[in-house]
Amino acid sequence: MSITSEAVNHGRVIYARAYVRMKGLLREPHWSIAEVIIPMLSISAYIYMYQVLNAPNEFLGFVIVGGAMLSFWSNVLWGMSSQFYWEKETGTLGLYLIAPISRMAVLVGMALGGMINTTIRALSILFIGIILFPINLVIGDVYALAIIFTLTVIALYGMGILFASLFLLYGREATHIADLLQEPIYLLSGMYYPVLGSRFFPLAIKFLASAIPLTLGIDGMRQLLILGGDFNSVILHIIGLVILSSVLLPFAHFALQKMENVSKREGRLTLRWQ
Amino acid sequence: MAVAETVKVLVQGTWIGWKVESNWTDPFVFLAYMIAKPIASVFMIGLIFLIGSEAAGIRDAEFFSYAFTGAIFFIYPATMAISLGYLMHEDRAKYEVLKHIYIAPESIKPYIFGRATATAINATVSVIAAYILGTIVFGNFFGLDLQVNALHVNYPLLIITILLGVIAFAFLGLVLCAINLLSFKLQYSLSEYTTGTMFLLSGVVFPVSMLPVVAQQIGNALPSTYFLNLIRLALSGSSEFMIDLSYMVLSTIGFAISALLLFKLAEYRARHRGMIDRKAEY
Repeated sequence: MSITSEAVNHGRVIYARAYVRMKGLLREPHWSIAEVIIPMLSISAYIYMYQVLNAPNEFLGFVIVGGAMLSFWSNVLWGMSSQFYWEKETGTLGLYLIAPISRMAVLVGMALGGMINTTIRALSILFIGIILFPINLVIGDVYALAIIFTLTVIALYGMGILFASLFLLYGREATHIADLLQEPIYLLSGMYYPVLGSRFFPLAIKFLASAIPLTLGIDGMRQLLILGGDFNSVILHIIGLVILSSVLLPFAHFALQKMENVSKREGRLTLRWQ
Repeated sequence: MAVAETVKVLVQGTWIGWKVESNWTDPFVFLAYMIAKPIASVFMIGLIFLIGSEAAGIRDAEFFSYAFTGAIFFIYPATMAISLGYLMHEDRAKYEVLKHIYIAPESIKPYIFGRATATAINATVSVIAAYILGTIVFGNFFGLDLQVNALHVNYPLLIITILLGVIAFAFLGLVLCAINLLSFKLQYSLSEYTTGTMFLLSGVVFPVSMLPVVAQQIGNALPSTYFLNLIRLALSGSSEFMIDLSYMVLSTIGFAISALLLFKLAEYRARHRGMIDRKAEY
């Protein structure tokens, strides 16, 4: 197969898998509504808590930005990482593996569809938050914001592809591990408070937290959306996210091949109810 | 005889619940899982308090105690709603055992309450761990005191409140089971809606009085609101708990009656529509 026809084939796989994600958004609109309303409930509770504490209004904005980005983390966990586990449970994983297509293209398509859906949800959360609560958005540098957002999403979905490969080995523990990666990550990445600029977090914890793309992404977006920062204020965030993206994507590709081989050898690809 | 049978099913439901929730890994990993998740959400509240207080320039220790205690004991309704909200889907579609439970005489409700008991036991472990670790970390490193004197705690009230709360949340679980019996697509969102609504309206991390009037009224009808109020009163050793206790008992009874009626109706419709063993998800 020539490089061109291989690229066309990959493109078709990516489109096909992304299409399913997009179609799902229209097929079950109540799921999309739920994914906006449910985070808004806890976001509102944290905003009220900051109001009781008399914290400055910018903290309300921090919560809304963190809450909007939470959609991406949920999508990475449940829509990417656990996806091959669900496919195994529903019996479609075997079909992917039989088809003459790249597994990586399937995951990229899944990520692309997820990114588009989730961006709509995140924007909805941001929009509702601004309507309900006294939040001032100060967008100083649109280009820097676009760079930070794009890099965050690429790094996050790179992590999602990596997790999806690792989760290929799992049985029932897949859902529990995805579940376990929620609150501890919210805690570490500063979903509802600033981590990198806070004195309550030791340097080692800040360094560890920076290995999660969400931490750098949320902090950078808060700088640009709430605190009125410019490109220079987020240059370190951009460097960090570029490093994360360039490490996570190749590593995800390697892990996918490795885990597929291990799963085949151990006969785990069609095993249900483990 | 009937009571003995019911108790037997309840105990078996508890045992199955424990097995399903814990045997996906070894006991140490399970214990870490059971502790890490609630501790993270409780610590998040502590950090919001610290960071928000620093930005405001005021540190209200009483409010820390309020929010932190609320977050710790909210583990009960959250864990039970999530676990029972998923139960019907899991047993019907995933493990395909719901029809077998139905074939056994009078077994579904005791089985659900057995599963609720197993979840409540797990939640108790999480609450104790979160309380101990939270006290150590925020007390030693940040000088924040939960303002609880072990000698002044009203232990009988604490135990009664937890038991009443577990009963109320088990009936809440029955409501979720009733809804899921008639639907095939709500198993994930329903429990999240429930926990999110309770988290916002029950005065977990801020007083209910902060909410708009309509939301306050809804919050005041929820057993979780009185559950958390009573827990705070019991921990502070206060003797002025009769009003909250009466409301808690009344809202639990009201909730139990509604849940039983709803479940009966859902069961009737599900059997007539052939939904007990219908596999729609897989």
